[in-house]
Amino acid sequence: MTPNSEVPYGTLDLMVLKTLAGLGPLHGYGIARRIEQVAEGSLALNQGTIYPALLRLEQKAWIKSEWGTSENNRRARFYAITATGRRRLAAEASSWERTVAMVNRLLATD
Amino acid sequence: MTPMTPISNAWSSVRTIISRLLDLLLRRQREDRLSQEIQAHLDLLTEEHVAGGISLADARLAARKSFGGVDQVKVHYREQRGLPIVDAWLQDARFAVRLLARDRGFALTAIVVLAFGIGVNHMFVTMVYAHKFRGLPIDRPDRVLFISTYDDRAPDRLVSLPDLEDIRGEQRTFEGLAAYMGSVVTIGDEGRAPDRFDAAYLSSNALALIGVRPLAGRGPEPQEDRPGAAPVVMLGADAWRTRYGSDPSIVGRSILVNGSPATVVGIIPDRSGFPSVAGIWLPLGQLPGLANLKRDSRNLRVFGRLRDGSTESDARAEIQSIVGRLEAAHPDTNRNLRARVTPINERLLGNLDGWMPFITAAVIVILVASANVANLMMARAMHRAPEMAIRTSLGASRFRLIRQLIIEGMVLAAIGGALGLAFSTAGVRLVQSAIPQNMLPYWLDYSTDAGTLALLVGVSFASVFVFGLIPALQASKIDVNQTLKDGSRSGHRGRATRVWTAAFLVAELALATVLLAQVALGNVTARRTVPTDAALRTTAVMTAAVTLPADNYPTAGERGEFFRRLEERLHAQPAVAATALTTFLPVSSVRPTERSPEVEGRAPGEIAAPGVSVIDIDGGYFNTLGLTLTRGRRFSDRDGSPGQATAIVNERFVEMFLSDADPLGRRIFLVTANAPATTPRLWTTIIGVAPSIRQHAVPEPGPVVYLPIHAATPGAATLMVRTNLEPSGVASLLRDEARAIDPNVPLYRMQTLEAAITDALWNSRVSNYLSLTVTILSLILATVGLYAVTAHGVTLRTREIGVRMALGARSFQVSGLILRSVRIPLALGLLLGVAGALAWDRMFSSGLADVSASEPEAILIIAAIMATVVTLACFIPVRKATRMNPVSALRHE
Repeated sequence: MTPNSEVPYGTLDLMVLKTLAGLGPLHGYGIARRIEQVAEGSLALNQGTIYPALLRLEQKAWIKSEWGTSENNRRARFYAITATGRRRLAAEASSWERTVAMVNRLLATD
Repeated sequence: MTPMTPISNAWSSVRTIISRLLDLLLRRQREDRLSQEIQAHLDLLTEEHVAGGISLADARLAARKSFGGVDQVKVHYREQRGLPIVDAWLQDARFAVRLLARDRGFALTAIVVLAFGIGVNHMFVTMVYAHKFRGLPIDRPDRVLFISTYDDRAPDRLVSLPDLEDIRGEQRTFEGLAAYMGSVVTIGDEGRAPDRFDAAYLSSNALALIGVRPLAGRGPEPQEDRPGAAPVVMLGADAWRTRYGSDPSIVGRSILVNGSPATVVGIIPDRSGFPSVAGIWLPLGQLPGLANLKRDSRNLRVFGRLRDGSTESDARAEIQSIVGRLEAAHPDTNRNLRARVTPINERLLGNLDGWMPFITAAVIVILVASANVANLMMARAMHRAPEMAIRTSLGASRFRLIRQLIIEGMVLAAIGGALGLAFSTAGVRLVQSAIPQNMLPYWLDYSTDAGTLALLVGVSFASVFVFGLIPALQASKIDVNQTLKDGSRSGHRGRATRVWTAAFLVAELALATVLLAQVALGNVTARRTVPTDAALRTTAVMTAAVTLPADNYPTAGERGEFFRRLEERLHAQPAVAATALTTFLPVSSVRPTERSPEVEGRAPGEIAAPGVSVIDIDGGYFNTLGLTLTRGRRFSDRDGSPGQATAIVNERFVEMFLSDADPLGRRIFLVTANAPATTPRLWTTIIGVAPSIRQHAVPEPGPVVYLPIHAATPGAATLMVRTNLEPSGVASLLRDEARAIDPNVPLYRMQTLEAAITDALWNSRVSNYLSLTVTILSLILATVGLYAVTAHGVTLRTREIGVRMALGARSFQVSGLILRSVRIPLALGLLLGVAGALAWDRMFSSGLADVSASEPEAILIIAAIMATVVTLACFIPVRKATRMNPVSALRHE
């Protein structure tokens, strides 16, 4: 893998949900920063792409949002995971693990 | 991935759709929110970079870089949001409204034309639906079946009480069977004048089977349904209000029903006049003479509700087999008797006969309106050809252009449909106000419900679409080069367009002519028959219906005595000029009794006779009506007594059956239907010939035989009093004189003969209003259509006309030029219209032989009116063309 790979399709939602589940309510910037931190530079995330993803998740009611004040006293929209979102996260995470394990096994065999 | 449960998946899809729909409404807010969020994000990024020690400008740049393309994100976000397709349609709709507002003339004409067409159509739909489709307001009406019988003598008979009891005992498919019989009863009690009400005798379970619950008190109990049980009565809410001031304590009290006491057990709510207009209900067991009803007196109407689990065909098979066994058990009375089982709505609503002309007219009007809209849209599409060409050349797809036109059509249809609904509602209200009270069955409800509304919406859109689509396709086929090169703002008019325009015009004219022909024929025919009614001097005659209670007046002699005394007392009054007694008022809405005549000296089968009306009258009849017998004498007191079997016939009767010799002194015989052939013939001698007047509310007077009423005075008859005073003044006089003889005899339906005839004719009057309205509308629509086409033609040919006039063409030549362009559709339309009118006549004519006699006159009227239409439609465009200034015409683009 090249160090700066694109975000694999469908995983951005999972990453957002996980971030919100772990850190509590965050604004878009915070979520993007957190994902970048965890990726330790191995991910080329255009921070802007987080917004369509947030909208998508909110439409499905997996996350909710409200206006709040950021650490620098700016108006920012804070996103929080919902109960449905948590259930979804658990399902997606286990599915992801199984997919990865399967791919790993596949790759391990010659 | 682990599949989520289908439900939660579905739910998140639903959530997504709801959220997207909200987005459509909240577009502005969501857009603002996104911008704010992105700005906040960029600010935070910038601050972070500044904190890292770079200049503000560089930090901003870096922030933008790590954020990615702002506009890309926004576009992506927007796609995620809302429903892009709906969004685009809404945009087009807003555009369409703007365009229509700009082209106000076109939009208004199209909307008004549509509104008229849809309005008339929906008015007819509402009425036809109410009369023929909605049915009785009962729960699950398809489970309620009506049982009737037929045999080789009569195609439709009811059920006799003994048969009903046998069927009841054997059947297993019905929850219960109920019988009813309509009647009229007199309700009286101490201190109040008696009133007459339509009533029904019915089985104790009848109301429960159709789900009518008493407003107060209870329904009848089964034991009250037996002959000899203590009599009870249920009052309708109307009787309860008008007679007893809605006094709840009336329940349990005793009142007089037809002169005998009965206990009020319940009040039936309004709008439950089962079976039709009943206002009083009595147990079937109280029907006079019920116990003596024979197996072959088939006079009960029977229905039942299916038991859960049984079907209509189960019930039919079972009832038919029971009736088959009854035939075997009672061969003398039930020979060849068969059962018929039909859903109650099918039975009570009847078929569409008689409504077909209306339905056809409704369809015609909407077609005329649609053709009109089509032509308007076509003309508009031609005007817009350059716009379309430019849009095409700028890359608009054909689909996009068509979509624009379709959306314009939808906007027109929506507005036209809404206005049409308003017209229809107003029209239905007018019709309703023209119908006398208590004339329509209780279940008739001229309201719009979801079904008819859906049809309205469908018709609105179909009328725009089916027709609007043709111009849409035409316009989108535009040859860009040709149109743009032409440089003419009015566009290029293709051959296909011309053909379509002409076709629509032909259709409109033809349809309008068909309707016009109907009205013209109808009115000419009606006008020729009016003089026969006019011969009746109706205004000074007061009429009142009288019914003698059967218990107090059991014999014809007693009944005759009452009427004779009443007439005597009236004659003693100076205000009374003449009195008469009859079984049917002239021009009655009820068809008089009909019998088949035989004439002495001619073989029984020789006269293939239609029924003749038989009306019982007394000696004062013709005098009171202001008629003079053309031959012979009127009835005296001795006519009708044994050995004095005499009759008076009308002129129509003489024309039809006795034209070969002097009618006076000849003997006729009136055949009783179903009477065995061995019955001895009782010959009746003709003593007079009366002028033909209409005895029934049909266009033409039919053959009538008048018999002396006192041969067997009936319990119910109508009194007519000619007065020298204001007729309404005689009303109280009549009432007083009747009360002086017997206070328990009610007089009802008291009105002048003129009012009675007006009421009786409501049906044809309403029909006339309707057909006249429809015809005038379709003529207006055709005029508008023709106008639009000629005006459009003039506009298109402005330059050509200018050239011709500059070269010396005279104004009549220019007019000719314009008129020539519509001469083929005009001629074709009128021809097709006449052909259509003839076909209509064949399809719907009531078999009146004299209609064809009025054709020449009617055709003149049609020709005159159509000529007026054409002149009106062409006048303005032609004048515009001939008044054109050649110079400015040549400059016209």
